[in-house]
Amino acid sequence: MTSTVSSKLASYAALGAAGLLLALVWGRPEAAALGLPFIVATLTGLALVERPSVQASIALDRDRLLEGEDIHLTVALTSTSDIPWLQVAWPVPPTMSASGGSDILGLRLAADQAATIETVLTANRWGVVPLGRPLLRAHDGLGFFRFEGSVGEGRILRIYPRPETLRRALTAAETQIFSGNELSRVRGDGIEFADIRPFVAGDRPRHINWRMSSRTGRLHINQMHPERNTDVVIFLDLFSDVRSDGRGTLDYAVRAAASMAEHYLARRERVGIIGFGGVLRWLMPAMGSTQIYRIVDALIDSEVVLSHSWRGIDVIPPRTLPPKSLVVALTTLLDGRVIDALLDLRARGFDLAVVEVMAEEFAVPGSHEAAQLAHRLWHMDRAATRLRYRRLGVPIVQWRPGEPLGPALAAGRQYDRWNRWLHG
Amino acid sequence: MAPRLITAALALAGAAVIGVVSTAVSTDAGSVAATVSHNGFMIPGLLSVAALGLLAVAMAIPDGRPILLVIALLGAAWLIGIPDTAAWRSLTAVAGGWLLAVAELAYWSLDFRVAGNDQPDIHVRRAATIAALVGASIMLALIPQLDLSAIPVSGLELTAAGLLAAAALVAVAAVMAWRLRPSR
Repeated sequence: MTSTVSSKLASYAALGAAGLLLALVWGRPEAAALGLPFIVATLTGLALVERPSVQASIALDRDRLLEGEDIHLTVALTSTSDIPWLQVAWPVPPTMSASGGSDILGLRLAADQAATIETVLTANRWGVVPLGRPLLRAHDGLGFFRFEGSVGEGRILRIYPRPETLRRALTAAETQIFSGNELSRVRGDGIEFADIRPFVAGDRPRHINWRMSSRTGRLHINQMHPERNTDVVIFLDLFSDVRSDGRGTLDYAVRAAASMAEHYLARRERVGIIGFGGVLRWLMPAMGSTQIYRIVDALIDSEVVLSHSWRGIDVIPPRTLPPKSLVVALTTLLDGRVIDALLDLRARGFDLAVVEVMAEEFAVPGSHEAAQLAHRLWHMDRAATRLRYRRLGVPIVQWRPGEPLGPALAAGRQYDRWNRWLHG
Repeated sequence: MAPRLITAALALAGAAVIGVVSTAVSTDAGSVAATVSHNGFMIPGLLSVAALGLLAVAMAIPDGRPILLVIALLGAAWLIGIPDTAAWRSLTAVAGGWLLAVAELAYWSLDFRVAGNDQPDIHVRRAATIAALVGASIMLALIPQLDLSAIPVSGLELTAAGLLAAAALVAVAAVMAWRLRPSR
C-alpha cells in the first residue's frame, strides 16, 4: 500500500515550531503554550502510526447474470494491525450500479480479526464487464497518514441481454430441406392442405381425395404443404450506436437480436449472426440449444469500432449466408455502408427484412432554427431511405426502443405477406 | 444534517469563541493590543474575522491548506488580545487545546468528503481520540503554567529548551519517515 502524508502533519509541526520560536523571540511562554498541543498531536500521531498489512479475499455469488439481476460481492478482510478507519471502494463499472447507497464502505478493522463486507451490484446493460479490484484506503487514528492500495484480483462478469418472449416473428419466404415448424411453399408430405390434382402413376393411394374422384369419375389426390425449417441470419449493424442518457440503439438492437435468436431456435430454425461493423463478426447458422449460448456470447461482445473503410458484403464469408435464408437486419439505417450492404443483399436475391431501431428517440433537435431545419431534413432523408427499401420489396419494421418488439414484428409479418404477393 | 456540515459548523463556532474572547478582553490594560493602539480591540478583532472568513472558505472549497493560517491568526489574536495577567496566561493552555480542537474538527470535516457508508463507531472513536488528545495537551500545557514566575522567560535555558524541543521533533519525524518508507 502506498502511503500519503496529510498536509495536516506539516501544519501541526509548523504551528508547534512557530509557537516555540515565537516564545523564544518574543520572550513570552504563552506562545509555547499555544503551540504545545500541536506538538503533542504531531508526536502522538507519529508514534502511533503503523503501516497496515491487509489481506483480502473476494467472492462473487456468480459471474454470469441477466440484465436487471443483482450480484453479491463479499470481501473478507484481515489485518495484522489495528486500522481505525478503513475505507473500501468498489470500482463500479459504468454499466452497473451499486445498490444500497454509496459504493464506499468504511469500517474499523481490528488486528487479526476478520471483517466481512458485502455489496450488491445491479447489471443495467449487457456486456462483458471487467470488475476492478476493490480499492482500500486506511487512515491512521488522527488522520495524519493515508495508506492506499487495492486487493484481490479483477474478475470478468458476463451480463446477458434479457430476451423478450416473442410469440411470432418474421418468417422466411423459402424453407430449407429439414423438417421444422414453418409451412413450406412447395408441395409434398405434410399436414396442411395445399391443392388437388389428378392422380398420376406413383402417387400414394392414401392421398386420394375420394369425394373429388367420385364426383369427376377420375382419381384425384390431395396435395400438402410440408413443414420445413428455415435459415435465419440476424444482421446486426455495428457501424452506428446513437446514445443518450446512458441508453443507446445498440443496447436495444442486441436485446432484440437475442430475443429473435431464442424465438427462431425454439422453432427448430437454423440461426446465424453477422455483426457488420468496423470489426466483422459472424456465426454460422446452426440449430439446437447450444447455438443460443453461442449467439448470446457473441452478442455481448458487440461494440461499435470506429472505422472509415468502405466495406460491402463481399467481406462476409459466403457460408454465413446460406441460399434461401431470411436475413433480418437490426439497424438504425444511419450508416451508408450498412444501407448499401443491405441493398446489395437484396439485389443478390436474399430474403431481407429490416428491423429499424429508431434513432429518432435519441436525437433531440436543437433550439436554433437552423438545427430544427437540419432535424427535419434528416427525417426526410431517412424517409427516403426507407422508401428505397420498400420499392425493392424489403419490409421495414420501425421499432421504437423501449417498446415491445413483438407488436412491431407482427406489423412486419403483415407487410411481409403483402410483399410476397406482389413480388413472390 | 450531514456529518461534514456538523463538524464544519463546530469548527467555525470554536474559532468564533476564541476570536470573541480575545477581542473582548483586548481592551483591558496590559494586553499587547491595548498597548499598541487606543482602539485595542481592532487588531485581534480583525485577525479573528480574517481567520473565520478563511476557515469558512476552507470548509466550502473544501481545502485543508488555509487551516494552518486560520490557527495561526487565531493564535496571534489570542496572544495580542489577552491581558498580561497570571490568570490569562494560565488560560492560554486551554486556548491551545481549544485551537487544536478547532483544527481537528476542520480536518475531520474535510475527511468527510470521501466518506461513504461508514460504521458509526468509527467516528465515535475518532471523536473520543480528539477529546483525549485535547485533554492531554491541555494538561501538559498547564504544567509549566502552574508557576510561570519560576520559569525563566528569557535566557539560555529557555533557548536551549526550545532548540531541544525542535530537534526532538525533527528526530521523531525522521524516525517515522524511516518507518513509513515504501516496502519492497
